[in-house]
Amino acid sequence: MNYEIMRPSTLQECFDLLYALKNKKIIAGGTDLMVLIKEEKISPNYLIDVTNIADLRFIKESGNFIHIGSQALLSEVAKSDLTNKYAPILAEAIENMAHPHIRNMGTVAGNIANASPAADTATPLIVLSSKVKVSNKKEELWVDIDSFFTGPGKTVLNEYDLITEIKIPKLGSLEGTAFIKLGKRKATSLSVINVAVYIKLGADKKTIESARIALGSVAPTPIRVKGAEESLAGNQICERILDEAGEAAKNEIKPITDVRGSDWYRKEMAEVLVKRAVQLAVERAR
Amino acid sequence: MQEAGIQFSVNGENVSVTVKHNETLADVLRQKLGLTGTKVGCDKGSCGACTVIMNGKTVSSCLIPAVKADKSEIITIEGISVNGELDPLQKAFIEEGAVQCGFCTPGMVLTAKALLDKNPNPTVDEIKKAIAGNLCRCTGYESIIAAVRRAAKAL
Repeated sequence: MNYEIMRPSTLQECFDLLYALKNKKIIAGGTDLMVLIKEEKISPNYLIDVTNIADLRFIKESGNFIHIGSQALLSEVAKSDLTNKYAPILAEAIENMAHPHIRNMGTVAGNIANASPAADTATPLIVLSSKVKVSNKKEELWVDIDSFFTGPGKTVLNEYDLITEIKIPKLGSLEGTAFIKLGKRKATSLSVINVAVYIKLGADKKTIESARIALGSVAPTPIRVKGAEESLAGNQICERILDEAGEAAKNEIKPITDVRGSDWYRKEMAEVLVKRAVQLAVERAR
Repeated sequence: MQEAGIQFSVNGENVSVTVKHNETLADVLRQKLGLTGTKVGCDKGSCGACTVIMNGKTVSSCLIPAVKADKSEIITIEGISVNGELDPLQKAFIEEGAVQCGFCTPGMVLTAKALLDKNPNPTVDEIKKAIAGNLCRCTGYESIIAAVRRAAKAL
């Protein structure tokens, strides 16, 4: 574990370092990174600490979006009035992550950059149709969260990139969300499976106009289950369509067996939790 | 090995230390400053034995590179008693039998202190959530929860 820590205080400095240095890693909260380093799974020569860059610590709104700076702490995001009013599923997910001390150190950006298929902020961001601002020395571009993850621990980010912001459309009327995490215990546990649901009701509040359902820990990346989504869209709300959505989700996924659970158990739980989360999201939409 | 001079306040006192880049805050508190109240258990941020309060928030000091403590305010368990007098929370821990081997205790007390500072009348559920990152292998947690409730009543 032999590395030098650079602590840029501006974005420009940070971008220059990302271009100039080889074998480096970005450190924000360090709650995933430092564990990897201590376990000798990675050995960077440089850590670029981005937590001093003040312009990245915001949580703000503008028009129809809320904007979360990449250095906003998980606990700050979870407690923010803006999150709880306009993207409550994100607060719900964060409160299920790790434990309070980790949430006081980690960031949403770090959670998605680390790109575990189990990442608890990923599925909420996916069902909210969020966008990620990826910046480097030459350009900045917005990436749909749907295209952000490319494999276990892999994203579209290259070695010069820094996530600077996450943009989330505000939740409106007739829209409801729910997040359910199944872990082996109530805190400090990686998801066996996690489920995020977004529902938009028809004006009559009796039909589902559209649904977005994302699952974590059942594939190489967090995924949407479009079959389950389509089984709900346009239908009157009743027990049967909830059952069908659960079943569709179960049949669509091909989870693996690992230390946290078997493939069949994940499929069983997908069915149960998708149904429960859809029910909850519908209630909240009303 | 790269070194850096950092300055920060620990329990109200300003300190200047030279730290290695690969040292953690836990290392520096224990070995350079002799503040061995902060413990290292799992050394990967899961057990809470290394909990300290940094800039008003509880954090896992075993995961924090020491250089990140520059210009920060740190409170360790040594800063909880004032002039040798135990804080009411510490007294409550003793009265309720919430200290057995004592290894989790510094982290527990700091976490409970941070909770009561923000929420002077927590429910049992709120206490459990707050200490979710602090593992205890001895007490079974009931006495710890009772201690926090007792301290809250005394506030």
